[in-house]
Amino acid sequence: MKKFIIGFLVLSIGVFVLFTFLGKDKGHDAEKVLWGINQEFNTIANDPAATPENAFVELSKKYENFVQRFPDADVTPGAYIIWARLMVIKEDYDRAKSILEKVLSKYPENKTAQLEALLEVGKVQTIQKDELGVLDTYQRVIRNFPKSEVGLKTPLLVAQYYLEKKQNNLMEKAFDDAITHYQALIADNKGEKVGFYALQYLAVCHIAQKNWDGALSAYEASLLDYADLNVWTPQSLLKLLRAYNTIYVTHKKSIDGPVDVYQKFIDDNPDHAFNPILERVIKTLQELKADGVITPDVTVQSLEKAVNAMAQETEEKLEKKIEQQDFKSTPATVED
Amino acid sequence: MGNKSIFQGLKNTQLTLFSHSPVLIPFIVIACIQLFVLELIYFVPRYPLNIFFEPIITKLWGEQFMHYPYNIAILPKLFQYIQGPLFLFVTSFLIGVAVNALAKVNNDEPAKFGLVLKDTFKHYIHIFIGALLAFLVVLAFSEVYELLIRKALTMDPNRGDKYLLKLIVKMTILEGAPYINLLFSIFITALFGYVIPAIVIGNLKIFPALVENFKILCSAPIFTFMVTFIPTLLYVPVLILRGGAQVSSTAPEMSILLLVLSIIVMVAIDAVIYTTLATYYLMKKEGS
Repeated sequence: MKKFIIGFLVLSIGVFVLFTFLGKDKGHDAEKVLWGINQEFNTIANDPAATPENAFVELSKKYENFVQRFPDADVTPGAYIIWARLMVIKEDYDRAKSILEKVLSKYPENKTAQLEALLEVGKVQTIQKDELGVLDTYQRVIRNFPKSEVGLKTPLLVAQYYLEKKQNNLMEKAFDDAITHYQALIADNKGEKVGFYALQYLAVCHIAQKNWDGALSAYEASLLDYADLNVWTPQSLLKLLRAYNTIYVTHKKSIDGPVDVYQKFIDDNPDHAFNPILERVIKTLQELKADGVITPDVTVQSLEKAVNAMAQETEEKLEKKIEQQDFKSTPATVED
Repeated sequence: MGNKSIFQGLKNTQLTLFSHSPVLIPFIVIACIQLFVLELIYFVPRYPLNIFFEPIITKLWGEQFMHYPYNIAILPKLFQYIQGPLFLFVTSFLIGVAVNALAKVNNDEPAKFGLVLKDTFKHYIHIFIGALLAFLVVLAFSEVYELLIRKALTMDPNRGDKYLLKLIVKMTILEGAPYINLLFSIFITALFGYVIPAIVIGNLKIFPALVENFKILCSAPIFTFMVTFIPTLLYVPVLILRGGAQVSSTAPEMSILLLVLSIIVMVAIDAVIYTTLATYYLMKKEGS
């Protein structure tokens, strides 16, 4: 028995030492140490007012030691970012920005960390009311991460910035730039998620510029050219249908366009999970026309009311149908 | 069988376990194997084992479970998954070895671990089938309980009448899960408790052993249940501690210590239960 116990202990300790040695410098230790430091950060973040000054200094020192001890660990860029957040809580914004710039300079290969750091820089600039700095950060995001979720949205944020400032000329230019940017993305990413989302934002730009034909053609392209892409959800389809119907009927005073587009979708994709819904939408549009709702004098309000009633009625059926057909519709995650 | 004989039986078991090491050794081996398996699982999310296990864990539970502290949080779950095959292939056999050692000690025969191991191996397949039957019943119960949990999660006590009753049922199903599982495992252990002694001591094949098991169980149901129930109560403090550790996430490593503790306590409980049941089986056999 003694022999067995000794053998077991030797084996267990041997395995422990071996795996600990093999796993050394592979990131686990760094994760563990950082978790402990982040716990302290969470305590401070929950009640910064009750935190004495020296607690900030001590924790900041811990982050500094951490990044020096584990410069190449996977979690280190994240440590820099949380360290910067600590400095934001301490209201030492310049220090926060300089910490974030280290992520940008030290980890050029880590796109996710770079984008996160850049967004944090933007947040700090917003707090500092550094408007030019924010705009510059927007441009850095557009330039360096055009295909990311945030990068896709950023050209619109630039335009929105000028809209809020009521600088109409600059706003128009921002929308023009955004349209050029999205068109290039669509051309380069046909059939991919990036192309699909660029089309959605392109439609928004056209709506903002009251270019209804442009908006309609962007919506048509997203529906017809991306029918099989794994980006659709019942909500995104209904959103598109509402926007397309409203714009078309209000500005073209007709239902022919939507009916033709939906019919083309059904013809091109005979087994698509959305077909029963689109058939129903076609029928409802035709009924609205027959009932005299869609007339040359139709107003946006009356049309929206009718479309919303239709959408509400069909939403549940659509979800059920998708569930039955096991139509995968994961929420959007764009490249990067 | 009165209360006196239940406690006398448990007391005698303690004496047997401490005075006859051949009976105790298989249980120590079980504990060592389980602790070693736990040690290996601990290293699963780390290099070099992560090369093989990362895709599996990421697919089943998500990428975060490869990283600290979630890699620790997932340990009890991983260990639970390993427990099934471990029980079927190793633990049940080693319980058989302990029962065989007890019979040999009782007959004043040599009971060296290696010898008893070899001798018990001829019953391996029957022990395995007996363990499999018990395991399948546990599995079926788990499935039913899973359904109950799902139902309880969607149950809204505010709907309709009998609010209090619905609330109690819901809370019992959701909060009482570890205790209900424990109670069920006591029931299953009692239900199949004499199968291994019947195979190893009675030299019976699986189906006659099952018949014999139910005969003895029917002749002393309260004794069997109480002999299983009383030692298992030792596990309740461990469950309470584990529940508390889940609530507090300040020290993830605490769950490993509690897992080690639960292995030791569970094996000790098994040692007491199976030794008492095997002793009772021997007494019955000698009596007949």
